[in-house]
Formats: sequence, C-alpha cells, structure tokens
Amino acid sequence: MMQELAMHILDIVHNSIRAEANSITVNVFCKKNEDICGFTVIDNGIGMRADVLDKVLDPFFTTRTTRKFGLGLPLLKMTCTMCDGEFSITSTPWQKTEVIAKMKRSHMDTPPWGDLAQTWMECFHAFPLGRLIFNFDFDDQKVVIDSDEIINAIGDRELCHDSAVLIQLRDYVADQITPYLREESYEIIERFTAHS
Amino acid sequence: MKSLSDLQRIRDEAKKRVSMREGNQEYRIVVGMATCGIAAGARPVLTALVEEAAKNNYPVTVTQTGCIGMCTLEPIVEVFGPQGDKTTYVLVDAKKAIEILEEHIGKGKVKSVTF
Repeated sequence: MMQELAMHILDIVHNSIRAEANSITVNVFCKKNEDICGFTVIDNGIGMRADVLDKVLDPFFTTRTTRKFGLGLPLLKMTCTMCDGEFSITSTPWQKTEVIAKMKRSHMDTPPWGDLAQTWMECFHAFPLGRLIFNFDFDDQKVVIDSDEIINAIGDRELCHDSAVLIQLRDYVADQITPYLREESYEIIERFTAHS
Repeated sequence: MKSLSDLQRIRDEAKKRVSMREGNQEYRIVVGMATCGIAAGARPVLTALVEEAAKNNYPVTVTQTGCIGMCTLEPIVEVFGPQGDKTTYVLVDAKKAIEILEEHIGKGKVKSVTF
C-alpha cells in the first residue's frame, strides 16, 4: 500500500519514464475552497491503445515480463474512490497520456502529501535525459520547478546526478514548498483531533 | 541553497569532488523503484544511499530501475563492481544500505546478510 500521495506520484512518473517519454509534467494541486487535492501526470511517451487502456486498471494486467500483475494504477484508483475523488486516464500515443487523480481534501482517508521534495528528487534522478516540470499549485501559492532551468544553470547534465548535488537540489525544492506544507499538516492534525 | 543563483557555487564544489574521485574505480548501485519497491520501502533506502554517498564521497553512482522481478524480496539493491561483477542485496532497509556502502564500497568486502 502507498501511505502517501508522494509515493503515488513517484510510482506514476516511473510509468511515464518506462513509456520512453522525453517530457513529463506533474501538477500537484490543493484547493481549499473547492475541497479537492490531487495530482496529474502528463507525458508524451508511447501511450496506450484503447484496448490496453480498458485493461490497465485490472490488477492482473501488465505489459512487463518480470511479473504477472501491475498494481500502481489500480492502487491509485482505489485511493481516489475511497476518498470521494475522481480518477481518469486518457492517452494519445506519442502525444499525450494523462493520469488525473483527485481526492476530497477533507476526507478522513485522504493520504498525507508525504515528502514531495524527495519525490521530486527521485523523479529527477530517474529521468536524466528528459524534461521534468513540477507545478505545485497550492491555493494562491504557485511554484514551478523546471528541470531544464536547473540543468542550464548548472551547465552540465551529468553533474546534476552527483549525489551531493542531488541533495542540495532537493533541499532547494523543499525550501520552496515547505511553508505551505507545514500549514497543511497543522490542518490535518486539527482535523483528526476534531474527529476523536 | 536558497535560489537558483547558488547553483554556480554548487557546480564548482561538485566538479572539485568529482575530480578528487577520479582514478578510483567506480561502482554502480541500482535500486528497484517500481510499485513493489516503493511499497516495500525503497525510498528511504535510496535516500540513505544518496546521502551517505555524498557525505563520504564514495566512488559510486546511484541509479534507479523498475521492477527487478522478485517483488517479495524488495527493497533490492544491486551493486555492480568495477570488473562488471554483480552483487544483489535483498530486503534492504536504510540501516543495511549504509552498512553496504561502508563494507562493500568502503572496504571492498561483500557483506553477507542473514535473515
């Protein structure tokens, strides 16, 4: 089971990487007034035909050969439905494949965000040759992390994957998004104490 | 690091470190990070490996891969030596990952793990 939304994001981004995408966009959003939170992952990889798209939410379907089932998408769908949310997946091969996961923000079972900066680092690390854009959209606060900008500023693609550089980049992303997430976690604590 | 302009400094530091390592034989460490790996706790393992490698400047490149094929034994860490030899560690956690770096990369000994 995935205990955090950050884990789900990482898992879905890994699908995009395996689909040979060269551009991946992740939108992470949380809107208090609409009471929704969730994320979308958009890539331009190999995509899926309509018949495959029908089967992709079946846990006993996978195209890989190392094991006989694929649980990433079914687990995410389960989380979304469990939390009064929506889940959808659409695909146009080599153009746009989009996974949308939305949850009710105030629902008891909606998982916490988890370490989003860590997830960013892991996605960036696993996807060295493409362009990875993370849009964080938290109410009025918007943060965009574009891997091309970072690589241009460093000027050396290979150096970006040095362990020490990765950690500093992760801390940079954490600095950008932490103020909001801190506020968010206080709210979660309040929500739980109110229930108990 | 507070802003992207600090990247210049980071780049210079990293270049210096990488050149210090040159001449040393490079190891490659691969962590399985598919659904099975993530669910079993591969994220803290990867974090520990990256942080520890950075701290001690070990001659390693840490990379991620998808499902290695033995989901019940995740988190799996594979170490590829400079001579092309491969060692597979299974059921790894953050603590074991650090031990692997110390013993295998640091001292060149293959660490056997008991269950």
